[in-house]
Parts: sequence; structure tokens; C-alpha cells
Amino acid sequence: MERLLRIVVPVTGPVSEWASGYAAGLGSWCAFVGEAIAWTFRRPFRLQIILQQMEFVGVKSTGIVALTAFFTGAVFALQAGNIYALFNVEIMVGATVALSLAREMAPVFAALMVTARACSAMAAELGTMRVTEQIDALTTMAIDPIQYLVVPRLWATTLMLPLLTMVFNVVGCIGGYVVGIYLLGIHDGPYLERLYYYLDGDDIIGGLVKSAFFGFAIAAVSCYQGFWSQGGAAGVGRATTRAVVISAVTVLILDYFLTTWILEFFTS
Amino acid sequence: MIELIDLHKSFGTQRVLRGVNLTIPDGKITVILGPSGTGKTVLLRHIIRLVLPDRGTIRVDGVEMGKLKSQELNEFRKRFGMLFQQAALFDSLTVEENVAFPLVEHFKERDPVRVAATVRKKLELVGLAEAIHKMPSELSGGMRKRVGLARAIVLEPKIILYDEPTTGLDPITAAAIDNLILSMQKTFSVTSVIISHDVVSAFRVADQVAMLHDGCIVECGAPKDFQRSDHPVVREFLKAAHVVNGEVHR
Repeated sequence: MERLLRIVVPVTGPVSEWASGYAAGLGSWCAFVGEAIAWTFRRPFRLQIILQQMEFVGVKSTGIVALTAFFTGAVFALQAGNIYALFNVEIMVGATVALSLAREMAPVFAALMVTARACSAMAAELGTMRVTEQIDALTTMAIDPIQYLVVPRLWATTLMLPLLTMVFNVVGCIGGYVVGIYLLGIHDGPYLERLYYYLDGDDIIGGLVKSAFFGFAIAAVSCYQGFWSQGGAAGVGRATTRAVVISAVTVLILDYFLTTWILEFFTS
Repeated sequence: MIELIDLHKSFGTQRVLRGVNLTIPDGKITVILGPSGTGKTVLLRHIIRLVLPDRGTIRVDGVEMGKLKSQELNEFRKRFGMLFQQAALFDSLTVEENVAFPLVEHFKERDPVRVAATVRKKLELVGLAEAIHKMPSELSGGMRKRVGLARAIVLEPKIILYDEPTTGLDPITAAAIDNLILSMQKTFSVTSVIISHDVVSAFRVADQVAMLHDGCIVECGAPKDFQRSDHPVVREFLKAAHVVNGEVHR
């Protein structure tokens, strides 16, 4: 038995340590999110800060989201067009691009772009405020830092990501149209007719619902990482990296489960 | 009155506070001395409940801090002002906005003209009225601390906590900060708690001096009594700072 333990413990020890650390981190994140939700409904409501954050997350991300969307739609149309040409169904390119964008690519890519542009900045800003004691200063002034700093960022991202996803949908379709019509030489009549025929409102709404969940998740992850960062400038750097990596992975994992739920919900 | 009773605090395996007992009288300046890394900042943070003790009680004006609920605690914290070691000014706001921040946030004053007048008055008190439109990044260390002090007193708190107010400052600026602390004391009769390792500054301002060593308060008394202490750690600390009878001898 002792010999067995001598072999097993060095292996299970670090694994159980990692698992308990991971569980503790997850628990702490859940408590953090719970506190942020509770503070949402308590006075004072900080509408001005929410609007500022909506401008930062939404308005200022529009350019980069539109640019990404155009080329995503364009490259997708190019690939689909070349494959569909083998079966003489090029007129399906528009519908394929629009459906893929609405259901998957627009919510996921918009969330990844917002993670890279806005959520990394959130983590860095809150992290810097933590290590320079600005968050503690808020607390000593009897202002709850979660209500003042986290709640506006959380809801601003949740509200703005669906709008950015819609921008992604529209601009992505334009990118697909430009490549499909002007480069691949598909007739615009059948191209658009197939697009309207196959694309339903439910597809777009499903994508927007998903993006709202993504917005909430990436803001919650990034704010948490920044809010509890420690260890000076290096610590802020580590927190920002963690925020981006965990947010991106969360979006992709969450995407699978939300898609399962949305397919079930919208097809029933 | 602030009472710290049998406070214990550990971070992981490191035991920082090992049963701190200290009474801080109303309207007086109490300086807690101790070498760097002895847990002075941790102790100060316990008073305003930025850190929770593992064991022990903190009572402020008879109210047990550990028993306050979130919103009661926020209300209670309005009695405090705190000057952080690096001032902790909000770097995206100007000096004026920093000082006005607690006023505006707590709706103490809604009229912008009155807010501006109060902010100017507090900045004049710390001698920095001319820096009102500057950003924190444009200020020196001493100026930042003075702005931090103006922000700490803008709600006219009953208790001010100072975290190493003179550390890293030149002797002239340090003396200016000491004079400010004394003038706050005279003007507003506040209870001041200062943590420091600056012995000269401590004897300049203190009504009561305490020594934190190895997680415990090993000596506490009036400055004159403190200097006569037989405790070996106190003797060594004073000797290292070249202080004899309150005078610096080198």
C-alpha cells in the first residue's frame, strides 16, 4: 500500500492542487458576478458611466468590427464560390455567407474582436487601479468599487455586443456580395433571392441572443481578472493576458452550448 | 475611540499580526512605528475594514466593524478619510475632479459652484490651489500626497488614516506634510492614525506612539515615555534612527 501511495501521490498531488485551485477560482468568479448583479439593482444607478462605457465598447469598436466583418464575408464568399462552382450552385454563396454569419461567425468574431480591443483594456485599467490602490481608495470613500467600476462595464458590453454583431452581419454580407457579384461573376438577382429565401429572422435573433451572453461572459471574465490582479506592472500584464485568453476560450466553449440550446429552442 | 483587540492576520503561511491590542484615543494623533514589512499597512487597513482579521475585534466609537453589513459599512466609512502611501489619486481625473469626487458621489453638494468653492478651500488648506487644473501625472510625490490629503478631508471625516505620509519625501516636504497633519488636528479635532517608520516625523506630531514588532504592539505611550522605554526593540529602533531625547544625533 505504501509503495502504491509513493507512486500515486506525486501524480495526484499536483492534479488535486490544480483542481482545487481551479474550483476556488471559479467559485470566487461566481461570487464576483453575483455581487455585480446584486449591485445592478441598488442605488445610485450610474447611467452616465454606463453610457460612457457603451461608447467605449460599442461605438469605438465599430470600425475594427466592420473591417473584420467585410473581409470575413469576402473570404468566405471566395471559398464557398470556388467549391460551389464544382456543383454549379454558386447562387447559394449569398445564403451560405449570410446564414454562417448570422448563426455563428458574427457573434463569435464580434466577441473576439471586442475581447481584444475593449476587454483587454478593461482588465488593464482595473488592474492598474488595483495595484495603485485606486480601488482601495474608492472603498475608503464608501463607494463600492464593484458597483462603480464593474457593473457599468458588464452591462455596457452585454448591450453593445448584439449591436456590433448586427453590424458584423450587415458588413459581412456586403463583403460576400462584393466578392460574389464582382469577382466571381454571380448574377445578383438569384444571389439575393436565395439569400432572402434561406435566411430567417430566427437565425439573426439566435445569433444576437448568443452575442448578449458572450458580452456578459467576456466582460465578467475581464473585469474579474483586472479587479483582483496583484503584483505590480507584471501582475497587470499577466491579468490582461489571462483576461484575453480565458475570454476567448469561454466564447468558443459557450458557443457550443448556446448553439445546442438555440437550435433546440428555435427549431421546436 | 478606536479599539483593536487581539487582532490576528495571516497571508498563507505568513503570520503578519499575532494578537495586536491597541487603543487609539479620540481627537489625538497616534503614530504606529515599526520597521518595513512588519504589517503596519495591514494593521491600518484593518481599521477601515479593507482587510478582515482572521481573529479579533475592531471597535470604532463602540461599533464593531466586523458586524456591519455591506451598506451599513459604506455608511460608516464616511467617518473616515485615508491618505494612501502613493496617494492613490484617480489618474484619469484632474486634481479638482479628484478632490471633488467624494462630494459629488455622495451628493453632499449638488451645486457645481459650491463644489468648486469647497474643493478650492481644501486645496488652499494644503497649499495647492494653483494645481487645481493639473493631472496627477504632472505632480511631484509631495504634491500628490497633499492632493490626497485634500481629498481625504473633503467630507470632513472624524478619523484620518495616514499610510506612511512622509516616506520618500525630502526633509522640507516631509516637514510641510507634518505641519499639515498638525493643522488638520487643530482645525478639525480629528482622530489621526499614522503608520510610519520616520521616527523624527513621529515625534514631531504624535500624542501617542506605538511600536509594532513581530505582529504585536510591544510599546505604547506618550512620546516622552516611549523614548524612555526599556524594550530592546524600541531602544534599537531609536538608536538606529539616531534619536536621543527626541533629538536627532548623528
